[in-house]
Formats: sequence, C-alpha cells, structure tokens
Amino acid sequence: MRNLSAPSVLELIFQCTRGLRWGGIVAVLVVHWAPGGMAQTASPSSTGTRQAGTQRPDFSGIWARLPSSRQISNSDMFHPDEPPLTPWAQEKYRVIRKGIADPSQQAREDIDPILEPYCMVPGFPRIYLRPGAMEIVQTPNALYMNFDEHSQSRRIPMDGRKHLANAPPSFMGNSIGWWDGDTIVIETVGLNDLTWLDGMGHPHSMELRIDERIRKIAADTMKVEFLFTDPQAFTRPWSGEKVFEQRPDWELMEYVICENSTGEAWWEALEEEGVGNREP
Amino acid sequence: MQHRFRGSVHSLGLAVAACFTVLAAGGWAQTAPRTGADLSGVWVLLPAARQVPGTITDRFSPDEPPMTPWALERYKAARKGLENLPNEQGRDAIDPILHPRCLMPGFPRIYQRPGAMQIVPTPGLFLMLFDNYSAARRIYLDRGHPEGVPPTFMGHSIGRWDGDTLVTDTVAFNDLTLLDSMGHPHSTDLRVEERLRRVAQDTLEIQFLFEDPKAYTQPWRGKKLFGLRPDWELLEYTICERESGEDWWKLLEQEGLSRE
Repeated sequence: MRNLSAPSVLELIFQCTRGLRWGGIVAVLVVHWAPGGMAQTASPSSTGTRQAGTQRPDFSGIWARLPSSRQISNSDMFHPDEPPLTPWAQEKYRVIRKGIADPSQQAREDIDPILEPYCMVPGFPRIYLRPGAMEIVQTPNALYMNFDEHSQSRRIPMDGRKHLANAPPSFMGNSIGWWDGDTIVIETVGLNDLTWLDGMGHPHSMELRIDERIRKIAADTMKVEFLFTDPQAFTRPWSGEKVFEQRPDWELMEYVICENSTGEAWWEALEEEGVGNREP
Repeated sequence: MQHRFRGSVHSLGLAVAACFTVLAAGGWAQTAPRTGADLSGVWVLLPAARQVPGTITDRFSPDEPPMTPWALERYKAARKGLENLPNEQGRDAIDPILHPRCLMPGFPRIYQRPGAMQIVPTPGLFLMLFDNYSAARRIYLDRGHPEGVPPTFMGHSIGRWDGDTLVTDTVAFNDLTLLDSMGHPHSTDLRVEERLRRVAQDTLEIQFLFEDPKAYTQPWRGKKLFGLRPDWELLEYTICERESGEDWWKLLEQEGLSRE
C-alpha cells in the first residue's frame, strides 16, 4: 500500500466502493458476523475479486474432517462402494485383509506400513484419513497443506508450472493446482509404492494419479472430491469425497504415530550404553 | 488483522478497510511482508568452507558447547570409539534418526540434514518447509506460546520482526532428538532463539542461541549460512524409506505378493 501513488489509490477506492454497491456489502457483513473470525485474507479477497468476475474463496485456516456420520463413508475410506480393483490389486487386498471378517474394519495391523516396525509416514492421500487436523495456507500462487501427522506438508504450486520431470517417487507425490471458478483443482502424481490409499488397505501402484476438486460448500465447510486413476490397481477411475470444517481456534499439533514405541526403543538403546537417565 | 473483522465496527468503514486489506495483501507471497524483509525462496545449507571457520555441517558452533555432566555422559556415549575423529558424526548405532528407530530429526537438527528448505512468509505465519520428511516448521507471528503445549519433534515456534531480522523463539521439544549430528544431546527444557537475516541477496544467515539448563551450563551461540536456489523445488527425502520400505515389502513377499 505504501508504494501506491495517490491517483491509483483513489482509483482503487473507487473500484472498491463500486464493488460494494454491487453486493460487496453482503460479503462484508458475512465477515463481520462470522463467529470466531475468519482467516486473515479470507473475505477481503472474495470481496475484492467479486467485481473482477471471478470469486476465489480463501481456504486458509485449520480444518478438521467431519465425523463419519456427516460423510458418505467411514473415516477409513473415500467412498462406501468397493473400488474396481484389478486382479493384481485384488490379490493384494485379500492378503491385506486376511482374517478380518468385519468389512468396515481397518486392514491387518501387522502389515500396515504406518505401524511398527515400519513406521512409515501415511503419505498422500491416506493422510487425509488420519486423526488430526490440517492447515491450509493459501498464497496467490501456491497452496500449502500442513498436517498434524508427522508435521508434514503438501506443496501445491498454482503458478502454471508443470509436474517436475524425473522427480523421484515420494510419499506426498508431486502436485500442481489451478483455479476453476471457485474451485481449486489439484493433480498429484509421483507417488511411491510404500503407502496404502486408505485405512482399509486398498493398494495402489506408482501409476496412481489423483485429481482433487476443493470447494467451499458453506462459509466454514469445504468438500474435497477425489478421482483415483491407477490402471495397474483399478479397472477404471473411481471417485470419493471428504468434507472438512473450519476450526478457527485450533492450532496444529504434531502427531507421530510411532513416537512412543520407537522413542522407547531409542532410550532402551541408550540404556544399554549405560546412559539410562532420561531425566538429568 | 483477524481481529479487525470482529466487534462492532461500522460496516462501511469495515468495507473500506477490507478493500485496503486487499490492496495491502496483494502479492505478499512474492514480496516482503508488511514489516521485516523478504526471506522467501528455496535455501540450502552452504558447505562448511563457507560457514564460520570450523563449523562443519554437523555442528552449529566450532566451539564445544558447555555441557553439564548429564549431557557430557550422553555425548561421550554418542562418540565412543570416535574420539580421534572429531569431525565424524555421532555413532550410527545410537542415532535416533537411523534404522530401526527412524525418528524424525526434529528441530534444530533438521537444518543440518541434506536437502533444501523453502521459506513461505505470510502475514501471521512464517512457514519453513523441508525436503526432509516433507516436514513443515510453523512460526506464528501473531501469538505467544500456548499454555501446556505438548512436546514435539519440531517444538512450538513464535516470531517477531526486529527491523529486517526475524527473531524466533522455539520451546516444547520432546527428548527423542539430538541437537546436532555430532550427538550433542538436549533435554525437554531446550529453548532455541534464532535471528534470521538476509546478509546478501542470495545468502540467509541464521544465528542461534541455545538454552537448556539441564544439558548446558550456560547459553551458547551458533550460526549457519544458507544460499538461495531460485530454480530449485523441494524434493521429499525420507531417510529410512529404503530400509523400512524393503522390510515392508519383504513381509508382503512372505505373504505371497510381488512388488511388481
């Protein structure tokens, strides 16, 4: 603001007030009465961009996944229907669920990559199904999703760049995003083969590609729609969704699932070395 | 700014304020925040030759920190057999980040790990993202440390601008990390203060003050320099991925599944 010359300030004030006359006041009143306040640039940007013809909501803030009763499926899956598994994926899924009678129960713990002794990070998209909150940081040319779990972060450049060529496969994959009206569209590839897609144990290959569409369905509620494409694991693309609600008073809190067990193991190793006093 | 939208301000005044917020916020991601300096970008730890003389990658200071007897005992265990190799990292056998424990390096050791970091300054939150574990460090610029915040690998960080320098304060560490890769220990009482400053267009300096009465007899200082990498993107790096991944696939193979 400091750097704006006087005429452009006046011009912008004029534009702002013109925008207000045409309906910005409604948006401002929404901000004004929103319980608990909203994220910092949230409503100003939607007010400000309204006159430009595109409405880009602000997703900044802390979000918690709604309970299963308010979703289309329980917290271990993205869709209540069984995904169309290829024989390769079916064989894997059978092993992963061997001995589990209840179809709504999570997969075998002894084979779960996030549990002891493997303790690997859940990766994307399973991280969406883990306990804990996520935080969205929205900037003009990127979106960042920060998670309680392992203090991990997803980076989604929205500046027109393409997927990194030759990026090694990773737990979070390589994401790019763009706006489609009021919706953020994200495309993620480059995932490794050390994660499950969900808590049920649905497998995926490194060919997995995930398209997400994120939009607000109420002032404090957003829906993430997924399209899962993986010719090695699924006979056709299939969709899912999760709904999240804003938690303005929350802070993220790091959560590391194996912290207790592997932490204890480390202190046991120190004790064997004769340095057993955890407290001075 | 958050509080600007609460309370009973006159709506029109509020609306104009909102307009100005839009103008003021325009492009804050690429340029500087409204106070302070622009530290955004991808940064990488400079090699030892370009750090304070004697500050190898695995140390924050060339001088030995003033350890308490409790810390010294642990440090000696971490360096048993390495007494004649002063620049060698602490023993792998009891390094918390290595297999089979594979614990995250945590803050501040994450600064010494291979890979880059990206700084994303926003008005209320200063984000530091790392290759390592795709981890994020979040430094609040609009609040204090909450009461009773649980101990974590990254700790709880707050910051404020002192001119062109970001001053941070980090507390609430767990006791599952080492302070550096030499094997210097710390307790859950560790407090780390940092001063982040751009000392050249392409150089970021971070000065550290480490306080931990259980582990160190007095506060001690350190410094690290980072170089800007304008063309880099972060690339996730998980140290135990190979070992833990192989172990996991071995189990799946025992169950009759093949990786391909």
